[in-house]
Amino acid sequence: MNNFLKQYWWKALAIVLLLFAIIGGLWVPLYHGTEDLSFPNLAILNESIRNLLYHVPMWFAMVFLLLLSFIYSISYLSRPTIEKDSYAAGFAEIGILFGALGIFTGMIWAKSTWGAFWTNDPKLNGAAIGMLIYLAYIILRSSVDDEVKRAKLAASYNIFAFVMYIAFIFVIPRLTDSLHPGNGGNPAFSSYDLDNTLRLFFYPATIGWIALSMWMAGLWIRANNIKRKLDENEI
Amino acid sequence: MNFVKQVWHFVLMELRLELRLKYAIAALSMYVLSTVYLVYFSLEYQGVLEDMEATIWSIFFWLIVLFTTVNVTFQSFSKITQGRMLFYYTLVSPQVFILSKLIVNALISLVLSIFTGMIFIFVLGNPINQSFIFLLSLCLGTVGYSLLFTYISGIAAKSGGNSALAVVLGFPLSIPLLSIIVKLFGESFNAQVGLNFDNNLLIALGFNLIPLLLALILFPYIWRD
Repeated sequence: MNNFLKQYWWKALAIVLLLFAIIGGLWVPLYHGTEDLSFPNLAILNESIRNLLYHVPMWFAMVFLLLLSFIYSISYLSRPTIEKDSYAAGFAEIGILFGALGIFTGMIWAKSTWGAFWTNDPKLNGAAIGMLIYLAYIILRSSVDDEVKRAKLAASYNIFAFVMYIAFIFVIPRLTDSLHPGNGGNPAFSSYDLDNTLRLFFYPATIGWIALSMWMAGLWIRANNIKRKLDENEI
Repeated sequence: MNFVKQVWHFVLMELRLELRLKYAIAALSMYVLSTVYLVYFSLEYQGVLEDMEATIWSIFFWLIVLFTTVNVTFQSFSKITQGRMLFYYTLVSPQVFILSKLIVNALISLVLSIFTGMIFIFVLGNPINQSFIFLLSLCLGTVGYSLLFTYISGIAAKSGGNSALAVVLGFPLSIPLLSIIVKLFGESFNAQVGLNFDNNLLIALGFNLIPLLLALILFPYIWRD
């Protein structure tokens, strides 16, 4: 993983793909009957359909990072090294950052289409609970001074919380109906998936945001490792 | 000694210890009593007790059960001294230790939540129409909480934190079970609907099993300092 994080090619790819998705996503017009290259013009959503290129890939990036953090936590418990703990922590922290970005982009979108920043929606509440769980993870980490003990407790909480959260994600849809696109007959991403123009920008955006999040996490983890080594040398 | 026998003896020992230290159980009962009285007083003072909805009854009930469970589980770890823990290391396997803790905490929480339910019925009135569904959801909810919070309290106690840390770590994880249980619980207020063994019941059961399995798998990694 350390070697992969130091390579350049996928970071260059992230820049190219994100520039393509952001510039293209803002430049392509909505469909008014004559354009060749256009996004679908759906009622209610209108121009806010472009949020698909930010909100959804940011959530994907978050899920990807939290999954990596989960894997590193399992790997820590089976063969403990302090590097694995720093990976698990770093991926979770940047995962929270992307979760927060996903919530903010979603809130701005919700204000224009639903008329409120926050609604009592199962998907929103699910996201909020996920954020709470990982903020609790950070608090747990900061409450333990001993490095080995912190790594052990944080890894076990991470695994416990991740499994419980995944179980919850499967339960959510049973609780109530959702306003969220893709539920209960609302204009949905499944119908955009059929749209080739949107797909042309959505897939690069997804790969780009995930690669960017990996890049940020890599820098964050390496900086933290250097900081830790400096502290050790001082003592 | 085989596994089951070890767990049985450990559970008996824990219960005996619990009964010997009467102040712990007494303190928890007082905790429940004074919280219920607090709820009663605030509702009575606002004049909403006469035509109170059953939903409010159930929300207050589950909040009190939740906090009582956190206290039960946290004190079960925090009262263990370093020396006693060393004694346990040499005596039993981590699975025996955590399974006994899970069982004992579930039993104590269950007793306390039934006690809470009785005082609630006595003080705040009785909205229950179907006592079987009421008892079933009460058992599933309380046992599920105590399983979840036993493991979380183990982590919180190991980290040297206080019970506030257990609350911070556990409450986000308790929301899924809470939302299902409140739904099941609400069915016991309705005289028309009988018990249907639908998905909610299975999901509640699942949220009892998942923390149980995870605690058994993960606890061996954290129990030694």
